[in-house]
Amino acid sequence: MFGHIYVEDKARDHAMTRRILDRFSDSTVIGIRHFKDVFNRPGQDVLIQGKDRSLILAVNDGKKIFEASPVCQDMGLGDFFYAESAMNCIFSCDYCFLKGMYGTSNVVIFVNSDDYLAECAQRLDKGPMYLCASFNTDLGALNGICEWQSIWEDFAASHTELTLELRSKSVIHDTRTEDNIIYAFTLSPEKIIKEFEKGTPSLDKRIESVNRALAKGSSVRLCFDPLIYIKDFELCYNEFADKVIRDIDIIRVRDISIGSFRISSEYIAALRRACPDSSAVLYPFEKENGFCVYPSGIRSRLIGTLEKRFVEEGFGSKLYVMR
Amino acid sequence: MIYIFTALECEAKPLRTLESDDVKIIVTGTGRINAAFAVGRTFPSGLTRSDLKDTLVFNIGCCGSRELDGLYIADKITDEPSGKDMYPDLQRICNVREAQVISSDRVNKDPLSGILYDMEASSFFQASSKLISPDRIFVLKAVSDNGYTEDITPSVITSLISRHLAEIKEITDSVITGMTNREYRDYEDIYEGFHASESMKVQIRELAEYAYSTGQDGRELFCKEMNDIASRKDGKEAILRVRAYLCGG
Repeated sequence: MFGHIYVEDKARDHAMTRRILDRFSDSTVIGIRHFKDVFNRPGQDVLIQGKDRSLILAVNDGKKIFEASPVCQDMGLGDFFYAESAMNCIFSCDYCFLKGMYGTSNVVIFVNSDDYLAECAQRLDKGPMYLCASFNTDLGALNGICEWQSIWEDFAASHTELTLELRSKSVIHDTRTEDNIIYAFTLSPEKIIKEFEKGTPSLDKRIESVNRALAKGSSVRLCFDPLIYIKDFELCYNEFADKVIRDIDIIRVRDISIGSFRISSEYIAALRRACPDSSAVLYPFEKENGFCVYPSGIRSRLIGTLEKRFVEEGFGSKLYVMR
Repeated sequence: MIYIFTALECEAKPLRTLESDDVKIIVTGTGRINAAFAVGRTFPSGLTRSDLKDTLVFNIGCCGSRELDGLYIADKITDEPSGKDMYPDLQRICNVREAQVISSDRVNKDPLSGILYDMEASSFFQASSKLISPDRIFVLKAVSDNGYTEDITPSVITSLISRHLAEIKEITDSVITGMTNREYRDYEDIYEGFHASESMKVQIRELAEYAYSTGQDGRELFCKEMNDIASRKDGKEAILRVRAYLCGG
C-alpha cells in the first residue's frame, strides 16, 4: 500500500509505529528527523504522489487539539474542536481541501496517542466539548493501518462529557453504541462518487455501513456535504435522495448535515494544480469572506434540492444546513 | 528535457550515447560547490518552477560503500557538513535498489554499513530543489570502491558506468514514459475578438478551462459568440451568456 514509510527518530520506539511497520513489512523504511522534512517539502507533485503515497510516522510535540473554523458545522453542539491525530487521507477526492492545504499526497500518522488523550482530558476539565477526530483525515479509512479510531472510541466511552464525531467515507464494520460517539457517514450520489471521489467505497457500500451501524444502535449522522454542482444536479440529487430515503431508516438517524462545496480562497490555486482536469474545482467560484463558494443562486438550489426532500418526508428537525 | 549531471568526464563518457536534443549531459567537476554551481548555471535566475515542470534532472556517478555493490538510487541524501537530510520522491522509479547517500568534501575512509558516500549528491539535490519538484530529481550511484580509491582510475570509472548503462537507460526511459505533458490552450484570438480587458481574459480562461473539464469545447463556446461582438461591452455580455450556460445562471 505504501512504497515508502518515513519514520521519525523519536517515533521509532512507539508501540503504534511497531505495529504499523509489522503490517507493512514490504515497504521501504526510511528514518527521518522530523516529519516536516518530508511532508512540507516545497514544490511536491500531489498528482504523482497520489499514485503511490508514502506514509510518515511521527510524534506530535505541538498542539494536538484545535478550535474548528467557522465554516465547519458545529451541529448545535457548541465548543467545536478537532484533533489532528493524522494528516491527509488515503482517498483522493478531487474537491478535498486537504489537497489545497497540505501540498502533498503523503499521509502522516501521529503515534503518540497518549499525549492526545492527555490534552483532550485537560480540555475537558474546562467543560463539555464536541470533538471531530477525523477532520484532517479519514480515520475510518486508516482503520486497517492504525488503531486511532478505536483509541478515540475507547476514550469517549469513558468520558461522557466529550461528544466525539468520527466522519468517514469508508466502510465501517464495527461501531460502538455510546450516545456520545457519532458516526458521521458522508454520502454522495454514485455519479459524484465515480467522478470526484476516486478510490472511495460506492454509495451502496456506504449505505450498508450506515444500516449496520443503525441496526447496532449506534448514533449515526448523515453528511451530504459537500454538494457538488454538475449540469443535471437537480435530477442527480433527487434520485440520490430517493435512494437514501428508501434504503435508510432516517427516523433512527441522529441528524443530517447539508452543505455545498466551499473552500478557503488560500487553497483553491493549489487544489486546481492538484486536480487540473476536475470540474469540481475548476468551477468559476465566487469569493465570499475569504472563501470560494458557488454563486448564491446555485448554492440555494443545490441545498434546496435535498433540504426540500427531507423536509417533505418529515425529517426537517434533523437537518443542519450550512448556507 | 532531461539534464544528466556527472562530476567527471570519465563518468559522462559512456552516458554520451544517451545524448539527444532532449537529453543534455553536464560535467560539473568534483565536489559540492561545483555541483551546485553547475545546476545554478544550467537553470539561471528568472526561471520558475512552472517553467521547469517538464524537466527531469539526474546526478549519475560513482560512489563509495563499505559493502554495497552495484547501481542504486538515493532515497535519502545527507549533506554531511550541514547535517541536512533531503528526500527524493521515487514514485516514477521501479526495480532499482535504494540506499542513503551521504555527501561530504572528502573521501570517507571509515564508511558506515549500508550507506553510499559521494561528494556531489546533496548540493546537486539542494540546488535542483529550488526549481524542480522532488519527484523529478534523481541521484543514481554506482559503487566503485570501499573508501580506498588508489586503484580507481578514469578508465575504471568509465567501465563501471558502462556496465550499468543499460540499467540507467531503462530508468531514464521509464521516467520519460511516465511524464504527461499537459496541453496548454491559447486563448489570444478569443481575447482579441472579445476586446478583453485583463479581468475579462481571466474570466474567459477560467470559463473555457471549466468547460473542457466538463467535456465541452471551451474555445468553441467562445468562438461561437465572437461574430456578434463589436465592443468590449458586447464582449462582457457574451461572457455572461457563456457563464450562465456553463455555471447554471
